[in-house]
Amino acid sequence: MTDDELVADYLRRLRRAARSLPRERRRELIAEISEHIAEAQAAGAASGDGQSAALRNALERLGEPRDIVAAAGGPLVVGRPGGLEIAAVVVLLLAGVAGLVAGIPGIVVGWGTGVVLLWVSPRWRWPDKLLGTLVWPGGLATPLLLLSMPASTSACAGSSNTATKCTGGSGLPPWLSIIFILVAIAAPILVGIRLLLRARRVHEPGEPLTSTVITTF
Amino acid sequence: MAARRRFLSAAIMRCMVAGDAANQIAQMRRGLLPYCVLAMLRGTERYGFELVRALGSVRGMVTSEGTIYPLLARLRRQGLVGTTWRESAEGPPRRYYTLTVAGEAALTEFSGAWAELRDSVDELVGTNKRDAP
Repeated sequence: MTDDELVADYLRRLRRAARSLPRERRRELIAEISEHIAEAQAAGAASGDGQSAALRNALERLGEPRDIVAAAGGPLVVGRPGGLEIAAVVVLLLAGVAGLVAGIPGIVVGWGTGVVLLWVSPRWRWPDKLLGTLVWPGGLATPLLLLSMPASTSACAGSSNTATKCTGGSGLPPWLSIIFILVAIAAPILVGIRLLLRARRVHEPGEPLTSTVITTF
Repeated sequence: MAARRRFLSAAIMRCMVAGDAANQIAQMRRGLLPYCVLAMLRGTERYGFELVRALGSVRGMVTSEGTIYPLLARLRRQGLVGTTWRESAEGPPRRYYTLTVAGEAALTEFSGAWAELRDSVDELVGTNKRDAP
């Protein structure tokens, strides 16, 4: 491997290992390690040891990328989700309740609030935030609303004379709409559970400088 | 309180039964490393590479130098070290680390406690006899 390939390979492994870190810390860590490598090469070139030898030595001394990232993550502290996170999930799931009071604007405001809370929280990484954003506006109220629709179409089909108005409502076979509704109810609930579980994990190392940590026992 | 102490001593005993002294020492070293970083910045500022190389050259202190960077980041978040970017004569600008007032206080507090603990352990374990005439 050439020097450039060696560096690229090392940084690629570091980047892959660092995926579990919050974005800001990941970026900072990769920047610092890159600077370190560049400094080592420059120092090697200046001292006459040879840039190549200095590079290999520096990478060895830096250690395995996965160990470096483990040090950055520290011992995982598993705590409870914070108030912000609980509020975000509750608001997202129940935004439809606001709709009962204030109609469509209520749903939009309720869901919007949930999404803002979701993205403001430092506990979630962006894939989880995106997932939470995809919970449909209205949350659980939407499938419940859908649930009431087949009932109304069947009631409408019962009054046979005006059937032409109603048949256009839903062209889905009943079993398909049942599956659809079940998914529509289960998906937001599962997303909510996942978000709450993910919010428990905090990548904050047990701070040895400010408190006594006995997690090692 | 008593229950807590009982729990702790049981936990410590379990560790000792596990018998892994090297592992215990590694834990201690990890706990001491932040203070060694602070100590390296006492009265002087250093840029990342310089600081990491200096620490990495101390025997038995750091096994992989890269792990010092996350530690520095944490010390900065805790307000114990500060950073400034400075132009360097050769190459790109460098990030210099300095000790903050809080960092200095933490270091002073540690130094006193460490000297006491070190002497006590030396006395109990008998490791101070080596230096005796």
